[in-house]
Amino acid sequence: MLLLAACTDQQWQEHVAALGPEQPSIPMGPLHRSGQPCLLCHSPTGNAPELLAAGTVYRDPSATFAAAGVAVILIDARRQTYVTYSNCAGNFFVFPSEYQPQFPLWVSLRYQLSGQRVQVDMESPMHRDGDCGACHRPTAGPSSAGPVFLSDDPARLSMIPRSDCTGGQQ
Amino acid sequence: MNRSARALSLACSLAISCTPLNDELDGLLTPDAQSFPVVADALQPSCGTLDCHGQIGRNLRLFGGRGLRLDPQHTSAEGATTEAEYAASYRSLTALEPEALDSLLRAGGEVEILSLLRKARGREQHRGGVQLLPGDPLDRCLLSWLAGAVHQASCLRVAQKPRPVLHLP
Repeated sequence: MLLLAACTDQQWQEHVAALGPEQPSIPMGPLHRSGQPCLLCHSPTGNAPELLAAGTVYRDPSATFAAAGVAVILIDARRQTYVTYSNCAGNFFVFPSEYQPQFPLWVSLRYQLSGQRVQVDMESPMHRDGDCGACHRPTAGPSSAGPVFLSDDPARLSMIPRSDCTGGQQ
Repeated sequence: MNRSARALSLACSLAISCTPLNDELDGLLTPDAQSFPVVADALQPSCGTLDCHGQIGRNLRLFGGRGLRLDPQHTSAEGATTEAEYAASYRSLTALEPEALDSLLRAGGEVEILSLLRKARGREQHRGGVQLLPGDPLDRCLLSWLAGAVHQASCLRVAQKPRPVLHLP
């Protein structure tokens, strides 16, 4: 059992190390490490306050600009919903004390576009945890759905404001 | 006879015969490969997502158009499941417990001899929780396939199940 724990811990450390260090200009907190798998550290076995679900919303698939103020709607197997909003770095998060869903968990995004409400639905549910960045890595690939983004339609994107907030200290 | 065995027995009795539709590999019987795609499509939303068995490190490794891709040039964001991906998922599923699978297909009996069923039904530790209950559409889909006469309607019902509707202003 000790050996298993040691292996698991080493594997976890390798995963965390692969993410790289904190950016010096961004303090640890709600604006840090955009686009990374939050629950790697923010979990019961991690070294940061536990989160139930967390991720980052971008304006478009290039993941260059964050999308701020987007409603992230979670709906669970019992049809209980919880809404949180992305901050200026695009990050959103839910604490376990705020919502106790029964998995699977479906996610939708909602935002306003020229006074109209636009909704983007995630196609498949989450079954294990709410770590969006684990599957939605910055680029799409054979085991990544790419970043969470609002639109890839140029006409629509021209109406969506860019958030160039980097979370850095002034 | 418990419910599981009854379900398999019923599925067998609906088919003309169970064994002719099965394939044989290295002397061990495996379920029909040709009818597997509809089963794989049913498994995809419940089991094959990227956070679950859509991962290369899993013993049960499921590939799919919106999950783990076989071709490194493909992405999980687009494209339909390919023939090669169906074949890879079939190999993964049937290679989990080949002797137990062979025994079930030859002699029938308790389907929960397969850890696939035990885990999906929550009878055995499963991080993904209970994904099917005896008699529900995914259960019927899997059991009918194992019995050699896949119940397409059950599989399609799972694969095309709509997501929950949001009732928010």
